[in-house]
Amino acid sequence: MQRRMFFATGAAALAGAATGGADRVWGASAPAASTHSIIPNVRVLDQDGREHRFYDGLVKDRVVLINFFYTSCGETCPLVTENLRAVQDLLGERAGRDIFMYSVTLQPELETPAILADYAALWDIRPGWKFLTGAPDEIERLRRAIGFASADPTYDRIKDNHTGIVRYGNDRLDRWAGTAGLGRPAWIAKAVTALAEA
Amino acid sequence: MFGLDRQVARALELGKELDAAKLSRRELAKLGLVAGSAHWAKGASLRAALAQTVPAIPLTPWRDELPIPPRLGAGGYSYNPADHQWCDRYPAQSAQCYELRIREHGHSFHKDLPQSTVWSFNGTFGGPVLDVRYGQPFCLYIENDLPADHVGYGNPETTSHLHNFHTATESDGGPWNWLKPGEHRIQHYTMCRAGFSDPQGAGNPYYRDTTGLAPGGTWWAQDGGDGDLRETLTTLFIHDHRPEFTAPNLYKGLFMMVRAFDQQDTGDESTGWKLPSGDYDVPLLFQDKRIVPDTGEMTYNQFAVDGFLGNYLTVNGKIRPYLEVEPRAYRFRLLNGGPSRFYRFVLRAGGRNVTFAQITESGNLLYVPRRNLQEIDLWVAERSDIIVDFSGMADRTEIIMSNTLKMRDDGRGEDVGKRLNPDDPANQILKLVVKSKGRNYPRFSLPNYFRPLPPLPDLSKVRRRLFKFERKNGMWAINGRFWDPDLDHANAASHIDPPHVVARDSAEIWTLDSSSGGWDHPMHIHFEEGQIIARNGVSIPAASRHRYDIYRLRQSRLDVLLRFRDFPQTDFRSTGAVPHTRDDHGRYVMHCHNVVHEDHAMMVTWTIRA
Repeated sequence: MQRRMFFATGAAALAGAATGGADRVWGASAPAASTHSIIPNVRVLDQDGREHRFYDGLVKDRVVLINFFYTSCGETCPLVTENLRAVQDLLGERAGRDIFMYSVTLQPELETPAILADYAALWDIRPGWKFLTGAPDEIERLRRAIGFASADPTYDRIKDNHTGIVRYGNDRLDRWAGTAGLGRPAWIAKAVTALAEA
Repeated sequence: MFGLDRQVARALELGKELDAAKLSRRELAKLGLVAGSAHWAKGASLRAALAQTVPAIPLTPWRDELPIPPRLGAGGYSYNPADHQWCDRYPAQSAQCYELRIREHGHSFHKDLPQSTVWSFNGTFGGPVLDVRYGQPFCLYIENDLPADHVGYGNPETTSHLHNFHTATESDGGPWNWLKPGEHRIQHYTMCRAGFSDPQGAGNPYYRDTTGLAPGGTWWAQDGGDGDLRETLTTLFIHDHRPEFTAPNLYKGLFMMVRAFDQQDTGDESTGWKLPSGDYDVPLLFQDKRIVPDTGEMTYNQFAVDGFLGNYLTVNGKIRPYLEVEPRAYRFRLLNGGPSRFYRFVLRAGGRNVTFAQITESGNLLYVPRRNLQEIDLWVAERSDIIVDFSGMADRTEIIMSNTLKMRDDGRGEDVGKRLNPDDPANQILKLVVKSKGRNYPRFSLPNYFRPLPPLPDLSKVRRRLFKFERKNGMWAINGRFWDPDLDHANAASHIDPPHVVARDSAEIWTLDSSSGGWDHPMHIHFEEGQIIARNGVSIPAASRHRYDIYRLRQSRLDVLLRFRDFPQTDFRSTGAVPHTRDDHGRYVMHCHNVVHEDHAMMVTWTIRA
């Protein structure tokens, strides 16, 4: 029963988002082309159910941290999220002002905005950090494009294999790098701040 | 915020709920919520997506002449000896202070292509070549003239590492203390061999020659000399080491060759081993590039994690150039400038392989040179010097250097068992055309031996240390930990208790264990050459051993003997302007030299303590 209830809630949330208007039906139209050569402009939903274009709406001209996770990930994700929460504190007022954080689900078919909102609440997430889901094929495209994937299908299939990287970059400079999600928060904050000030 | 324990508990609880709610594919499909198999149907394009494939357009072959890197002349910089370890005993004369300015400029990879924007040392792609000599300490004045407002891949913050010199921490150019645009610093090199601070020469049996090969006597080191001759380094290079940006910075062009000469490898054909010298000692620096043909711009994928491969092979910054050679012996110094590609070089003439000899491996002279080779492998950052003898070849004979090693498409290592066609233009790199200048060419005679390896200590008494390389959640962990670029650098506490402390003057066996399948790792240890004494638990016989600075890991477990001598200088007290803490003089790293892996944390800090 628990399963059914959960399913019903999740599906309703996704359906709700998807029926907001004809142009918001997943898969109905191709996403607008990204103006970035690699980062796609896929449609994503944040934990509050708001829709964004990933590149144009969330990344363009910003300094960002991006990681992938899923709420049912047993070992790594909670630690990475906790770590990034510490990074958010270290960023202080810059978090949400000129440095933004995005955690994208690896289970978009299950993880609705409501579930992500619950997850975000667990960590007392402050403004400037969005938890994102979307149509599975669009999230998949995003994941592959920005280097949370492996060409080895066996390795790629295991979601946990994509949970340890944090991409950070300054889109204005088009400068990007990766660091360990379980790295020392002080380094992660310093690395991304250095790009913000470059 | 509430406690970590509680958060983890909540997350696990949530996870269980979700697991319990797992839906069947059918249920999801009904709702159109799953792309499911569609993801994998698209799998074929994943490789292309990751590699950002741009097809190479054919360019006119053999249009450009191979540029030879210009020799770097000395500048006249002064420096404060109090900033550098061992500078009190091995000061650099001002005539040996060389200037490196790191610049952005236009460069033509091929006459058919528009100019590309590259970074380099001193305004030539692949830099000048720096010739140094044992017994003559030198300094590098390094200035970062890159544009601070640079846009695109590559980070205009840079640090310059002389790979793999026996260098003090403060001059190692390792992944700390990078220069921002407009900044400069001076690095000092003793030009001594490892062991220079040991009790030397007559009386120390370690240096007694048992081969009969020691020059001018029976000792491999002289009292008050510059170290153990058997620890000589020969072909080295300088490259960028900015953490998390080394791959794009190297790819931009921040690498250059350094040749170290000594009393037998003299750089003069009339002395010592009489190896081909001057115009006949030719640096060949290899990098592969992706270039947009319409604009000439190089492209790079900053989101690559496994590796990055170019589709144009360049040598000394040119695509398929030619070089006229005289009918005599040449020394070609091959350097793989990465970022991820390995090569298997062959020399082709008339559909057949031309043989050659190999005199160095991993940048160090072999004890016994290898003759009559048909191919040679070069992993990233490896250097091998080969001797090709064109004697007796008729004018206009053409010999083409090609690559036959096929990489896996994502750049993570060799596609073992596959072989590229050396006569396919895509795999051809350089054409050598014989052209006599009518001189009376001397016959070249390859020495039978160079220098033997230093003997091993009593292995039962040396400390062993395990480094296990694992892919963890998409990043690279060493012994379960991720490298911290900031640790040991800004964090004063870590100076007191750094990870992996080795004792100065000790020897250790490091086991490098990479068990993950399908991954190749050219592992590099700063500061010290090591001898591989066992592979996968099987001893390597003395005759097959060598001194390496790159260890080829392919699902393998290598036992490497290392010695940690001379540094840190025990009586060094910095009084100069460079802020050193007393305990921070022996800090080095080990890292994968597939620099894309390095940028994703495949690096570990270790420290020598007196």
